[in-house]
Amino acid sequence: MPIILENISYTYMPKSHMEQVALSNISLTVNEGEFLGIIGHTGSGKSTLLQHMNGLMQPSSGRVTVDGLDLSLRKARIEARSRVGLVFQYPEYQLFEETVYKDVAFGPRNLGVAESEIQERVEEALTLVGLAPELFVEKSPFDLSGGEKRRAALAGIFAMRPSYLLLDEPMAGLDPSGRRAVIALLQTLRAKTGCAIVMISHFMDDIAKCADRIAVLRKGTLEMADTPERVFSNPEALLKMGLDLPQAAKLSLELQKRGMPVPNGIYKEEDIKRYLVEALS
Amino acid sequence: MTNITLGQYFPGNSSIHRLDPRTKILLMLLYIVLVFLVRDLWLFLLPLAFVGFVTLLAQIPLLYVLRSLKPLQFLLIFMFIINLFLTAGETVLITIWRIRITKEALEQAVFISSRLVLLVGGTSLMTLTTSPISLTAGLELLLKPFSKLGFPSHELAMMMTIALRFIPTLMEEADKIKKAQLARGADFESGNLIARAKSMIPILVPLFVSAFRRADELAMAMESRCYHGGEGRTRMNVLRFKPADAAAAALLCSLGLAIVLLQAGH
Ligand SMILES: Nc1ncnc2c1ncn2[C@@H]1O[C@H](COP(=O)(O)OP(=O)(O)OP(=O)(O)O)[C@@H](O)[C@H]1O
Ligand SMILES: [Mg+2]
Repeated sequence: MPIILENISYTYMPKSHMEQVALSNISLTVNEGEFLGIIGHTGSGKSTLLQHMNGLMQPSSGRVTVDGLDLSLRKARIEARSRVGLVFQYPEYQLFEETVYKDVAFGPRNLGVAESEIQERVEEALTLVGLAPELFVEKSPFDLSGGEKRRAALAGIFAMRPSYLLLDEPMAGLDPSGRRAVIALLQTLRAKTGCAIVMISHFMDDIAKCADRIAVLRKGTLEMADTPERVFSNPEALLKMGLDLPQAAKLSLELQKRGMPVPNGIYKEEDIKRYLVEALS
Repeated sequence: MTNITLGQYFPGNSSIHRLDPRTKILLMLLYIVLVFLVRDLWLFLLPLAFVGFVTLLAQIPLLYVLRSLKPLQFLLIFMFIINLFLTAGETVLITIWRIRITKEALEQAVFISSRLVLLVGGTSLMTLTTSPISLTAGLELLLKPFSKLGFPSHELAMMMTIALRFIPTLMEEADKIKKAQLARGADFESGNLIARAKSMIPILVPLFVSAFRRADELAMAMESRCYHGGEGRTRMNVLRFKPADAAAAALLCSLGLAIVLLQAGH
């Protein structure tokens, strides 16, 4: 069953001189197992929207259900948090335990997982993010490098085995190889567990690479929620919203302008590569 | 957690907002003296009119001024009741069982409450119309003469400014960390006192780590811009007394004079 947002609106600090409408009348569904990308200009309400999906924030109006659980109820929210994992921007700043093991175990322990299973989950999650358990479990999280901290923090959420994983700009502040590593591990995670992923990102290439569907936010309203082909087929609209096209889509547009018969709807790096190799040989 | 506004500053650009913070601090002290000078209940009308006038000029909703009295409501009620029952008097108004309420006691209770309301309401106008930053700037300049005697006025003001600057940031950060830990299934609400205190560790550790990191970064940034304390330091916004400051001072002084003269006549 999916996460369903029905006509949700949210206002920060209502009825004060700092009132700020962050979301207005958004309806969106996150299907099981899908990869949904969320894009939008700074301040368009992406992070706010994400926090509504696991009940951390509650809409001023409208309804959110996760697998049929109505998140306006406290019990349902607590239950939903075990199904929906949320990784905030710069998750490395939440590490607090003495060892990496204890920190990754924090989530599963809160869910009431048995101690024997916790060890298994922690080791699995650490392996998945590429931190060899035998080297890292006893280390202090504060002694890790920035990239390792980020991985440890991700492992802390993976160990909760959510059926939906929400990520707020997981690539922010990483170098290109770090970004590729995060993308790769998200894809591995998905292949292994089949969990749905919702990812906010400013990097169109990463979104193009992974997303089955893209939601476009603009000033708190949902502008589009569609397949990448359709979203990237309208470059003017995206540019107007302060967004960009993936490199592959830009290249194919430029080639079309110069008279090369590139088919429409190319937005992935590997697709344009394949086309060019074929066309030039 | 995010809806705590610090120092209750109400942003604006009215003539009251634009007054020199030093003027406002000094006039606030004068206003306090003035309220204490009042001996007759009806003379409270003068400071009341003054507060009303300033509120109007500052374009602050009356609600915000009244809100500043809210934390005081219990003290107010308590003082009123204490004065009502414990003041000795002659003219009995009502007798309930063995407790007598006299006219003098009622007058005294109303008088004390009015004084308290006017004190808090009036002084809150200053914090409502002065941003914390300009308030510290004003304080620094007012305390500057004492730095000759070794009083660290600049250091104090700088510390206050930094603290004021970072309190909202740290609160936001605490909120963010709390949410992140909630998402990891943390429970801050159930259990006994010890369990609850323990459950704060996942918030406090990252918060302290980040506060120290920020302090470190700020110190580095200040040093790399050659900050070396108050000696020989100039300001970007130089505070200058303007005609409006004189007008405000004159207004409040004449109010004080009126109160003194009217009471002397009695
Ligand atoms: N705690 C808050 N208090 C008041 N207003 C807020 C708060 N958080 C966000 N806002 C406002 O709500 C709007 C949406 O914010 P949000 O953080 O959801 O944007 P975003 O799309 O995630 O932006 P970014 O890409 O910069 O992360 C913004 O206009 C922002 O100023
Ligand atoms: Mg955001």
